[in-house]
Amino acid sequence: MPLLEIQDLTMSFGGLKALDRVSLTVEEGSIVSLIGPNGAGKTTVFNLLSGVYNPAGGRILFQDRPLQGQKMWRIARRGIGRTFQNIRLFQSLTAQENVRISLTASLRYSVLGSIFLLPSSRTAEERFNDKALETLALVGLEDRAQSISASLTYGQQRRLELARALALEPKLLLLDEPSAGMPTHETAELMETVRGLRDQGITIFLVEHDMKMVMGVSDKVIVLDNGVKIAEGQPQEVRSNPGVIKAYLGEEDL
Amino acid sequence: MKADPSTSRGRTKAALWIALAVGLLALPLVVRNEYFLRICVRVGIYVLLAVGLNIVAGFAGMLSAAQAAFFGLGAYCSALLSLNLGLSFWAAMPISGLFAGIFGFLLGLPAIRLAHFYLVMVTIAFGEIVGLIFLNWESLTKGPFGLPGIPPPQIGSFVFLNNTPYYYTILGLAALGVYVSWRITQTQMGKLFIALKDDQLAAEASGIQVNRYKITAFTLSAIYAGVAGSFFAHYMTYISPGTFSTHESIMILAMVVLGGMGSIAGSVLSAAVLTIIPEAMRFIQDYRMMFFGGIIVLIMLFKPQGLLSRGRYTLKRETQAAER
Repeated sequence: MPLLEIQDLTMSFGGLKALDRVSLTVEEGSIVSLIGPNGAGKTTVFNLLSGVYNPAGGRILFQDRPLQGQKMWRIARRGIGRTFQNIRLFQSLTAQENVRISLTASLRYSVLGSIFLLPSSRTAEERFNDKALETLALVGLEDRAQSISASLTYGQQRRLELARALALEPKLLLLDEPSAGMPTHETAELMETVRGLRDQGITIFLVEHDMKMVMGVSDKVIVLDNGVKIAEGQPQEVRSNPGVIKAYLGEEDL
Repeated sequence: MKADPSTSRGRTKAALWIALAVGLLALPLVVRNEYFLRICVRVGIYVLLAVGLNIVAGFAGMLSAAQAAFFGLGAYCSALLSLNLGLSFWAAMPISGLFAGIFGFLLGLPAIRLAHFYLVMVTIAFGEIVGLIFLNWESLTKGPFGLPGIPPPQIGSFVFLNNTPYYYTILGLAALGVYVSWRITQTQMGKLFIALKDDQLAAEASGIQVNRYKITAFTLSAIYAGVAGSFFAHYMTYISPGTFSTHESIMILAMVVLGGMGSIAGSVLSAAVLTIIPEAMRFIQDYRMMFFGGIIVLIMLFKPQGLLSRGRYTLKRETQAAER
């Protein structure tokens, strides 16, 4: 049974058809990559999955229950975390506070209690901080917990965004070009991190341009071109698919 | 003297707070000038209004030009409860705060769908509607004649007659208002407000019910204004619709902007400055509002982020309308 199943997903912006009857599945415990040339509709798929847009047609099933039409926050709480292509952190909050935001749903607390300093609220605030630190440690940022997120380096900001998504304790993690702008050695590190997350039981759905990374970590690769799915399969199969080479890779040699 | 800078700074801070508290508490004992105390009471009312508006406009980043409408709703609610049902100020004040809060909640419902100028337009429209109701529901509000004879507060047999007891009451209310507002910044809710100001989409993707927190900010902000309105009604003992105009709302918004959006201390400071300056300039008579306007322009020219804008709660820059 797939964790995520997309059936005939269609989306258009004005007259432009961004996605045309795309169907795909993401199996539980796997790493699946979504690739394709610029403008193929990859980020649109992610935006539909996380509820930024409502699809014009088709169905999205997550754990066999429909996802489309639900609010973003509810989708996040159902266990889908995501990162963004161009990092979107809460710039004036510290790293630790960024992660705390995602913990809101899981750690209940009383607003009045915390304003009037009731004893129960102190423990709630402590729980928030402890849990946030734990999550930061997963991405190696525990020593930058008190830094304002805007002051972090690019690579640290990417990792912080990942930590913020992980704090939701997601079953499915959507990573939108996680290696964008990263030097090679950091990409290698990122691949290790992604594999590690998969081994902890988090299913990973990845939009990625870096072919070394895609071929290195993916259990399955799905190729989009002009809003249409043109290939799906293991990295080796996709790599040698003539349609993919023609549409996406051009003359470039894999 | 390098022994523990954090403690010594903490001590200096504590000393400053104590000095401020003692100074404010001792003021009416030292200055026995009713006119001066009257200005201080007005400052207190505006502190409550501005610090309240700062929650929705400063923390959560939603510009509202309706604070005077909530101020008026609190004032009319309190006045009518006293005049018609004989409630004391102390009973009417919390009810008026909640009453205004309910309207803050109701305005929040459409307001969450809007941002920037569109939100400002809707809040102005709300303020105008409330003003028209004060003016035209004559059977209840006596329309343009206003409501005279609102009883002053009373503690036992002690009736508030001069400015001193009013001064202490508004000092207490304003201090409580500032404290609650500061506590909010220390809690998860305060961080959520900043998060939705920084990046609403990312907040939603992090599982935050953005709308719930926006409405909460509107409600809290209105409760502050409702309490201020109740105090105002029993202080003036007479209210009329003209006081609660959009002009007044914009004045309160100006206080928050001038103080530095999101800065509590800034809101307090500019509430004081903008209340005192027009009084201090009475000697130039007809020209004073012109000078007053000029001073606001100068502050905005030289301190575009506001008087006190170093805190991280203040709006540093427009959140990027990033690609979705």
